Amino acid sequence: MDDDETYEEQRLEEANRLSHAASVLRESRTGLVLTGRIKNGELQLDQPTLDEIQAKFPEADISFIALNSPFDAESLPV
Amino acid sequence: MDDDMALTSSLLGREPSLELIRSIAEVAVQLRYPGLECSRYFAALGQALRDEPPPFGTREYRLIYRSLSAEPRWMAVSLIRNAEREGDGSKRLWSLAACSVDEEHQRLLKRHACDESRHALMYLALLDLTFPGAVSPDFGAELRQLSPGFSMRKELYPVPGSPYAKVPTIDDFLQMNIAEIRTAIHHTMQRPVLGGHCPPENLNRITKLHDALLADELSHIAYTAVLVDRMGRDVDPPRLAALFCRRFRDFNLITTEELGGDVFDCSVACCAKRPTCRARAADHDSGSGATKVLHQIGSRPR
Repeated sequence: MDDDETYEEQRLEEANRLSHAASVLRESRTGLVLTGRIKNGELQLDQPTLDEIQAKFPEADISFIALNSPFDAESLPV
Repeated sequence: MDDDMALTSSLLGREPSLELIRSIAEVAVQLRYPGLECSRYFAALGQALRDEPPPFGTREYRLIYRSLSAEPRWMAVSLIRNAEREGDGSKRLWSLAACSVDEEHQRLLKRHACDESRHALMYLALLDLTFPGAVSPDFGAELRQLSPGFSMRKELYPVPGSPYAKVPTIDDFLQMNIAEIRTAIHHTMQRPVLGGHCPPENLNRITKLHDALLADELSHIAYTAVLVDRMGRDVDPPRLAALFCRRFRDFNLITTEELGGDVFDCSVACCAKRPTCRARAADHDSGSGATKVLHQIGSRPR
């Protein structure tokens, strides 16, 4: 059982190393790699992806974004 | 180039300005409803532009965009954020459509929701074409979840928990119209930047995708303008103009705050970052309304 767990941990570690190496390779090939995930339906960009942007312009990741629907759910009377 | 494309192209390459905003609305209506005047709508829009000139109609807005968008990483993230916001907006529209009691409004809103659902995927396609390989296949597959996958064949339903599950009003169409105009301004700024970042062999495909996006946005501006004009038929013109001004003022605040402060309404999980966002404010005080939230972020309605 312990051997199984150790093997699983090693396998996970190896997978992480490979994933990181793949990112580095892509970064050096294209100059750009974005990482993140969708969790509970929401976009989560990894911090390194955001850090570089936020260092230059704190709110820049949400500026200049399309909005095509009402922006206030509470309608005003005319 | 046909007449429609020539009209649309006349919007590209121009500096943001109040004239460009008005031109966008005029071209939109002319393309989809040739010959229709929409005099009430254009009179109210004109007054709102004079009284509450939006930041997205200024040269400075373009300068900030140009500075940010020169960074490939910012531009790539911006495309993903656009996909996210299109998906989110699509759900709002789907809920409004589901609750509409007017058959024509429902059909138009459903079509609009389907367009935005598709646009989420189009922004991801723009990402792939502009920055090939920037997103891993796994993350790319996950990102496709940003589109709710709506289609005209699907049955409408109010999205659970959506505050937009309500009968749409003239105010909703007016808000959509303002927001879509800003999105069209963004398109005019995006076009040359995408061309500057992408591999040359992808430029044609990017241009076609971007043309399709802009055409859809103009169509949305047109139908919302016509509905505002029609629904405003029995309203005193000064009252219609006052609502237009009020909503421009609100949206100007959102735009300004997005460029460096708190946000009025929550779309891209801003509630996680900001105690003043609408969703979070509502958690703390179930009685919060538009006035209260505006007050919270430091701007008192006049």
